Amino acid sequence: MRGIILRKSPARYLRVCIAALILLAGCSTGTSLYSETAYRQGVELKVRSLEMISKASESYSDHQSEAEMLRRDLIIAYEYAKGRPDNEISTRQWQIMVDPDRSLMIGFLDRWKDRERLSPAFIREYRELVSEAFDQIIGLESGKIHPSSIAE
Amino acid sequence: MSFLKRLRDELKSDLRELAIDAGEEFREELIRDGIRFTSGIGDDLTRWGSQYASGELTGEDLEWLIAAKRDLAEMKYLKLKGLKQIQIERLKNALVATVAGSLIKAVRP
Repeated sequence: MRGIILRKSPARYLRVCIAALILLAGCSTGTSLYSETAYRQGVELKVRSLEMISKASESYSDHQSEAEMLRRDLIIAYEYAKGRPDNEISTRQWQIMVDPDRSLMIGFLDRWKDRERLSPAFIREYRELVSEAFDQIIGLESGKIHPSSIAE
Repeated sequence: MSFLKRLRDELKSDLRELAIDAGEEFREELIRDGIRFTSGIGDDLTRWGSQYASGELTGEDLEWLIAAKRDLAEMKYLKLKGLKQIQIERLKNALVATVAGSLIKAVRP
C-alpha cells in the first residue's frame, strides 16, 4: 500500500508524514515537565521530616507547633503536585506521603501525637524508610524533562 | 536522486544514529532495584524481629514498619513507572525532531 502511494502520489505521502509528525508531537505520555519549585519542596520537606522524626522520642506537645507546620507544608506540596497538569504519578506519591491512613509522614505525625513519645529503635528504623520514600519523589522530579531542553 | 529516495536515505541514517535502546536500560534498572529491594526486606525483617524479641520494638512498631516498607515499595514502583514514561517522552521528542530534520534535508535542493 505504501509503495503504491509513493509511486503514484509522493505529495500525498509527504502530507501524511507531516500529519503524522504533528499528531506525534501533540501526543502526551502523561508526564509533566521538571519543576524547580517541586524539586526544592521535595528536598526541603525531606530534611524537615527527618529532623522531626528524630525528635519523636521527646514529647509531641513540646513540638506540636513545628509538627503542625510540617503537616501543613506536606499537604501544600501534595496540592501543588495535584494542580500541575499531567502530573498524576508525582501526585500519587505525595498522596501516599500525606495519607493519614497510610504509614508515611502524616500517618507518622498522627501516631506520634497519639503516643506522645516513640521509641528510639522505632525512630531509627522508620527514619531510613521515610528518607528513601522522599528520595523516590525527588528522584522522579529530577528525572523529568527540563523546559529549557524543549525550547532549544 | 529522487526526493523520496533522498528522504528514505536521510531517515535511515538519522534513525540509526538515534540508538534506540531505552527498553533494555529500563529493564536493567528495574531488575537491579527489584533485587536490592527484595534482599533488603529480608534483612529488615530479620533485624526488626530481633529488636522485637529484645523489647526494643513493640508489636505495633513492627506492624507500622512493615506497613511503611509496603508504602515505600509503592513509591519506588511509581518512580520507575514515571521514569519510564519520561523515557518514552524523550524518545518521542527525539523521533519527531529526527523525522522533521530528515524531511527538511530531503526537501532542500
